[in-house]
Amino acid sequence: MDKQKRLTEIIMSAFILAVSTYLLQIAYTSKIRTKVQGMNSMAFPKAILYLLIALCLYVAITGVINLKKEKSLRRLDKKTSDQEKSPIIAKEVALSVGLIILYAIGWQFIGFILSSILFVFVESRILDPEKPWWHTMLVAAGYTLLVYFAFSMGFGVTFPEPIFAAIGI
Amino acid sequence: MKRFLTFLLAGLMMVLPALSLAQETDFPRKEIQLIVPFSAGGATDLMARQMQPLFKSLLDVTLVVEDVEGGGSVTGVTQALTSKPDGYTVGLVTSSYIALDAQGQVPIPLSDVTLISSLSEDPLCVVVKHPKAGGKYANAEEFLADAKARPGEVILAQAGNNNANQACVAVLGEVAGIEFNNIPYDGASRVVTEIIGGHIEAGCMKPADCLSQLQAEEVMIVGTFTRERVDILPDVPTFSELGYDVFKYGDIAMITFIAAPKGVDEAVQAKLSDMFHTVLSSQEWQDIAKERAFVSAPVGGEVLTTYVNSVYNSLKVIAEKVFE
Amino acid sequence: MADIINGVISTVTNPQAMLMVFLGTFMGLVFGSLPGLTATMAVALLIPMTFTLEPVIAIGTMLGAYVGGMAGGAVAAILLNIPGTPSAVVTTIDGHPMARAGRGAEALGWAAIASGFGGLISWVFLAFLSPVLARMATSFSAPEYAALAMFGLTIISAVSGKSVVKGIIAGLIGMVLSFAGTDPIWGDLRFTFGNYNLLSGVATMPALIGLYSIPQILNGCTNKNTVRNVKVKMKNFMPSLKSLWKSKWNIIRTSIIGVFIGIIPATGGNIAAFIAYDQAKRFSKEPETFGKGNPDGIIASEAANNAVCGGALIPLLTLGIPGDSVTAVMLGGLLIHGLTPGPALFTEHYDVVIGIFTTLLIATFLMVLIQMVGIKFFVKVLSVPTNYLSAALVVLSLVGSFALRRNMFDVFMTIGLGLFGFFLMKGGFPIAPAVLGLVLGRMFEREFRTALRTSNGNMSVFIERPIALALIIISVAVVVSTAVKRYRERAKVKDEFVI
Repeated sequence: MDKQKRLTEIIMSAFILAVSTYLLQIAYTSKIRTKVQGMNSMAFPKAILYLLIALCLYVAITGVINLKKEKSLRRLDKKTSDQEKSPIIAKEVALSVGLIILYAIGWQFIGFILSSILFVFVESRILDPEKPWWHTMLVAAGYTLLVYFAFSMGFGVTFPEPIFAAIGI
Repeated sequence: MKRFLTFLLAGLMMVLPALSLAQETDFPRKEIQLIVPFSAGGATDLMARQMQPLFKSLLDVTLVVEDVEGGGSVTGVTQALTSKPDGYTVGLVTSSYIALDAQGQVPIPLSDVTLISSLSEDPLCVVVKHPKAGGKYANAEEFLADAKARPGEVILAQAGNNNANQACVAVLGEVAGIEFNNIPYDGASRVVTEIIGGHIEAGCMKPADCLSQLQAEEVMIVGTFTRERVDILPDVPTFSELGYDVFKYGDIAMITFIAAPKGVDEAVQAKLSDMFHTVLSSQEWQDIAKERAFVSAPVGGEVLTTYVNSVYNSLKVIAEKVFE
Repeated sequence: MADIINGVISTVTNPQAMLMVFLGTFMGLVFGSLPGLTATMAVALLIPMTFTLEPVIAIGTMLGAYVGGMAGGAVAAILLNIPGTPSAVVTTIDGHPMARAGRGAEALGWAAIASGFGGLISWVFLAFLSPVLARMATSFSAPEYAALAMFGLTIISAVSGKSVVKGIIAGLIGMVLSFAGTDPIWGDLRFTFGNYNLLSGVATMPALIGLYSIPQILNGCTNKNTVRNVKVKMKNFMPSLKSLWKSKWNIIRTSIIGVFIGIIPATGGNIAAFIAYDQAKRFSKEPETFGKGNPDGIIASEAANNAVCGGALIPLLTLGIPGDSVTAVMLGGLLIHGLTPGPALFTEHYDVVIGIFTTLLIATFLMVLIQMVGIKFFVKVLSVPTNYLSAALVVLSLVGSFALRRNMFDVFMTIGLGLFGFFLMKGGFPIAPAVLGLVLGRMFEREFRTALRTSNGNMSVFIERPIALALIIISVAVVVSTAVKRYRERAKVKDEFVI
C-alpha cells in the first residue's frame, strides 16, 4: 500500500476511535428512561461503539506496524516515486471542498440561483483554467437555470432565495 | 437633485405601505404549502391530498402538500412552524405533536403558534383479527377477559409511542385493571400486518388506518375510545358503554388541525381560516370524511384554542400519571 | 378467460394509456438515474398529477415510474460510480470497473436486460401466484425481520473488498449513524445534539449522496481514476444470446430473491440487491472476479431490484399491505382513486386488476426499450468536460439532498458525510458496508428489541420460529464459511498483514 493510503488509514482509524469515544461518553450521560423492561435506549449503541473502538484500535496498530514494514521495504528499493512526495489531499480537492462549503452556505444568503452560477463558474475554472471565461459563464448560468426550473416547476421544490424574495419576485 | 431625491423618498414612503397592504388583501398570490409531518401514502397524507382538488375547484388556490416525516411528527411540524410567517406555509399538527408538547419534548410549544383551523377528528379504537379470518375474539369483552387472565402476555400495540394512541392503551389498562404487553411499532400498516398474521392480539389505531382490511373482514373493531358510537360503526360499542371510564383524565382525541408560525398577520390568518372552512364545509369534503371514518367540523378562533388546550391538558395528565 | 383478453386488448389499444405508461416509465428512468431523486419521489409526485385520469391509467403511470425508477439507478452507478437510487449501490461494485475498462455500454446493456428479466419473472409471480404468496407477507414478524437483518449484515463480508475488518468498521459506522434520532421502543432522544432535524435520524438519501457522490466527485477533481479518458466500445452493448444463456441461473435465482424480498413488507430494492449479489458471488465459478467487473454482479443487483416491483405489489393488492416504500406511496394512489386493495379488489374491480397487470408488463418492456435506445445518449454524458461535470454533479447532489425535506441541514450533512467518506475511501475503507449498516442497523435493533418485548424477554422466540431459525443458521454458516475462506487465503499471501 502506498504511503498516503497507509497514513490516511491510520489517521481515519484514530479519528473514528476518537469520535466513538466521544459518542460513548454521550451514551453514558444522556437522559434516558432507565427503569425499563429489557434493554434501555443506549444499550445497543454502547455495545456497537465498544466494538468499533476495539476494531479501530486493531486497524490503527496494524497500520502503524505495516507502515514501518513498508517504509523499510521502500528504502531497500531505493526508488522515490513522485507519488511519495505528493500530499494526502491534492490542491484542487482542498480548494473544491472549501468552495462546496461556501456554496452551501451561500444558498441561505444569496440564494440558490446566484450561488449556483458562482459555484459552477469558479469550480470549473479551478479545475480547468484554460477554458474561455464566457464559455464557463454560459455553462454555469444555463445549467443552473435548467436545474432550477426543472426542480421548482417539475418537482415543486422551493429553493431559498432571500434576495429575490425581498425584492418581491 | 436634493429636492428630487426628497420627493422620490416621500413618494416611496407613500407607496410602500400601499404595496404591503395590497399584498395582504391579495392573499394568496401564489401557492400555499401544507407540510404533512408523516410519510407519503399514509392516512394523514392522503387526507391532506384530498383537499387539493377542492382548494382548486372551490377557491382557485393551489395547495401543495409536502411530506416531512420523522420524530413522531415533530420534524415536519417544526419545519412548518419555523418557516416565514407570511401565511404561505402551514403545517398539519396532530395529537402526536400535542402529546409530545405536553411532555416538553418539542422545540416549539403550541402556545407559540398561530392556530388556523381544525381539520379532523378520528375516533381511536381497538382492532383485532376478524373471527371470520381466524381471530379468537368475537367482541371486546372476550378480548379484555383474555387480557385480564394473562397479565403481561396479551399484546395491545400501536404505531409510535408517547402519543394519543399509547395514552388510550395506558388508560384502558388502568381503568380495566389489565396489564397489557404494550408494544410500539413504526407505523399503523405494520400493526395491521402483525394482527392479520396472528403475531399480536390487538392494536389501537383509527379506522382510516385499516379501511381496506376492515372491508375485507381481515380485522374487526371491537371498541372505540369515543363518547358516543361512531357513525360508520353503529354496532361497535364505546369503551365507556362497556363500563370503562377511559375519559377519567380528560378527553383523549386524535385530532388534526392546521397551524402557522407565530407572527402571521391577522388579516392573512383570517383569510386562511376562511379558506379552510370553506373547503371543510363543502359537501364533497364531508362525503370524503364519512367514507374515511373521520369527523370534520370547521372550527377556528377561540373555540379551536380551547379545543386544542383541552386535548393538551388531558394528554399531559396522562403522560405524568400513566406513562412511566 | 375472454374478459382477461378483452381487458388486455382494451388497455393496449388505448393511446392515452400507452402514452401515459410510456411517460411514467420515462420519468421513472430519469428520476432513477439522477442521484438524489428516487422512484418513491417520482410516484409521490405522480399521485396529484394523475388524479384526473382513469384509475387504470393513473396506476399504470405510477407503475411505469416504479419500474423505471428501479432500473434507472444503474446508469449513474455504472458510469459515475454514484448510485442513482439506493437500490443501485451494489451495481457500482461491478458496474463501474467495467466502465473504467471501456465496457460501460456493455454494462449498461446488461443492467437493462437484467432489469427486464427481473421485472418479467416477478410479473409472472404477481399475475399467477398472488393469492398463494400473499400470506407470506403476514408471516413475517419481529423475530423474522431481526433474523433477516442479521443475515443482511453478514453480507458486509461480500462487499468489503480486500479487508473485511475495514468493511466491518464501515458497517459499524453505518449503524452508529442509524442510531441518531428517537429510540424505537422508548422514544428517548439519542445522539440528537439538541437539533430537531436529527429527530428522525440520518435520512438515507442525503447520507447515500454524501457517502457516494461527493467522494467520487472529489476524486474526479484530480483527474485520476476517470472513465472519460477511455474510449467506450459502443458496438456490442446488447448481451449475446450465448452469454444470456450462460447466466440463466444467476438471472433466475436473483430474480426470485427479489420477488420474495419484495413480498416481505418494508424491505425493498436495496436489501434485495445486496442479498442477490452475495448469492451470485457464492454460486459463481469465479468469485474472485466479482468487484473487478463481472457482469454477473450487475445482473444480480439489477434483476433483484426490479424483481422487487412485482413482488411488492403482491401484498399491496391482495392485503393492502405495501411491500416496500414505493408501494406504500402507491397505496395512497389506489385509495385516492377509490380502489380499496384486498379481496374486494379482485372480485369487484377485476378489470382494474387486469389493467394493472397489463400496464406493469408494458412498463417493463418499455423500460428495457428506452434504456437500450438511451445507452448511446447516456454514454455521451461521459464526454462532457470533466471540470463542468464535477461542478454540475455537486450542484445536483446538493439539490438532491435538499429536495427530500427542503432542509438545509440535510445539505450540510451530505457535505459532512461526503468529506468523511472521501477520507474513508482514501484510507482503503469500503463504502458499501456503511450503507448496509445504516439501513439494516436500524432494522436489526428495532426488530430484535421488539421481538424480545413480544416474548417478554424470552430469547427462545428466535429458535422456536422456523423462518427466523433458518435465517439465523444461514447467517452463522455464511460467517463461518467466509472466515474459513479468508483464513485459507491469508495462509497463501504473507507479505501484507491483512485480514
